[in-house]
Amino acid sequence: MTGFLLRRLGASLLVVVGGSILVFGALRAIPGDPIQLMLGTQGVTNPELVARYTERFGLDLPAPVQYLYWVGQLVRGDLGDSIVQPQSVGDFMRMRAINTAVLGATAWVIAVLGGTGIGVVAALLVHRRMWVADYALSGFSVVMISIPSFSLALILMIIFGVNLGWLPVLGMQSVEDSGLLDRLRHLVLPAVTLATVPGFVLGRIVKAAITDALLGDYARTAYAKGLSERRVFLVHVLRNAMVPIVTNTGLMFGGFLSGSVLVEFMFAWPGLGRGLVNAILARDFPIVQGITLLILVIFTVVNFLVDLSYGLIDPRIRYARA
Amino acid sequence: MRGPDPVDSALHGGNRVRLPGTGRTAALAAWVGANRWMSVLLAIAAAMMVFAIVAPWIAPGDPTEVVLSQRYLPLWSEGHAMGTDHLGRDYLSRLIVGGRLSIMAGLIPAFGAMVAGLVIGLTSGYFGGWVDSVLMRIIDVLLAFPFLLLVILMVAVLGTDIRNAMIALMIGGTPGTARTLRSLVLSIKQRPFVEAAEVSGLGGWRIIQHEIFPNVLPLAVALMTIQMSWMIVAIAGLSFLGLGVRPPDADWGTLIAEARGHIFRAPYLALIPSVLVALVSFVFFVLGDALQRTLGEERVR
Repeated sequence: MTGFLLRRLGASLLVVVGGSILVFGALRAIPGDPIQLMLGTQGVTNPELVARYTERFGLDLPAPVQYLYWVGQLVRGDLGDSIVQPQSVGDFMRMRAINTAVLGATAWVIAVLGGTGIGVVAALLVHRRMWVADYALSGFSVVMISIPSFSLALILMIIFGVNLGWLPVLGMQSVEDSGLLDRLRHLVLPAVTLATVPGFVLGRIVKAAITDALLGDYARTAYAKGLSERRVFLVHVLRNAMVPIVTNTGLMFGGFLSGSVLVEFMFAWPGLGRGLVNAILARDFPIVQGITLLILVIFTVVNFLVDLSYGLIDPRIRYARA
Repeated sequence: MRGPDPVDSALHGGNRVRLPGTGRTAALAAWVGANRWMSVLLAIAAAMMVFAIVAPWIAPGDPTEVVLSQRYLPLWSEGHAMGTDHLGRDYLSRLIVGGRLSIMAGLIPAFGAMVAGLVIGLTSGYFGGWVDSVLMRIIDVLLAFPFLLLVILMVAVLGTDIRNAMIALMIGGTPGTARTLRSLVLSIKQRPFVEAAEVSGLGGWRIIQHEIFPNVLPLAVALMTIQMSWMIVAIAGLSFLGLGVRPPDADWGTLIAEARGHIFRAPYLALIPSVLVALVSFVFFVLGDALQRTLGEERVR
């Protein structure tokens, strides 16, 4: 077990370092000089200013030296200063990370509860041989998975924001009223949009897992013992169907991080995804490096935890070889 | 409970029985009869590809002609079956020509990702050793990035246009395919027919070509079909963000982005291309899903 942990940790570290080098190199290969972009016409008329800023952000040094310098700063907990924003990368990311986390966590709860619910219902439909309802639900799930998130966002905005006027469609809070209820109301549409695809994907996986588990010997034994259907489902089947559910939670995180870019863009949500796209477009290297590093670390840690959790849920799985 | 091993079931599932003495047409008819659902899906997918090719010739008007006196004509207007947009351009023509870009730009990178995934998966899985280690570490790193973020980053590096967006999508889709195919190759390598070929002195490339490749191809095609459904959505998303198709060209993602500013006045301008993207993506998703089921693997999205 310890050997497995160490090997797995080493591999994760390698991935994070490799990923950060990849991003670092890619940014420096992008055509377009960040300093010139930031200074605009001022830079064209004043080459001295460009030179001074280039030196200030260390962009005149060879790329490997820049990388080592960046890592050195990082070890001391400093992500550097933004080129475009008048603040440090750490300050820029802190607020936005919280906003994205709030959105992501809400979406995660909706997706897990909703997805598991849909999966259980779908499995019950199969179990009770209600084929028409089963087909309808499967078809609906696939439609919801195929809808692009920005289209879904528009549809929800048109229905709930424009036609019914129930929910606000932009931003995190109103200007005049920023109580808890107001913030929650702003959260509904973005969170639902973000949760839709992962939720319905999870629903399909839960359905398959439960249908599989119902065919297992223990399920037959449980029925043979005369246990009620509810008890068989909740105690014997659902637990055995947990492994794929947990595995998928890790994949879901990737979906959230990808999805949040478009969803934050649509709903004007001041989070990391939107910050990242804007920073890429403005060639704000330090911010892109900071945000991608955070995403790499979160993604890697989640995958690591998912791997570990297999054994907790299903003790039959052993960590033989990584 | 872990379900059946995908690699194992891919090997044992999908046995095809060919009756002796039947011609090609009869065999096709028999296959269609036995796989009605799949045949319908294949026909729809094929029709979409044909549509993507012939689109410029079936568009009734010029998709880029601006007529400012005819802005926001409603649906079913005289001469403009789908009305006009905020610049008075014929919306039906824009939808048809945009569909060509959307479909092509989704299908081509998925195909490219399959080819690249096959090359890497076969090389890595069959030869193993340091080549395998290096390739798999690179793939680990690429898979540590969420798909869309990796693609956006690459578009930024390559420069914003449709060709680069397609290249970026292809690179983004390759690691997953390569990883899955590699594990299939690893298990095929253990099987008697490969050992027999090795003992009879065939070279590595010939074994890959004649023994391994034919057994990997079905799963590769199924994965490609599912990726087509993602990539059609992804390219629309890139265009929506302004990172894909550039004006004056417009794909469905561009149309949605343009219509976004006018959802109060003409919500259908945003809804129609949204539904179309979802529809095309839906067909390829269901088709890929059905192909994978035939291979006995039901779990992968």
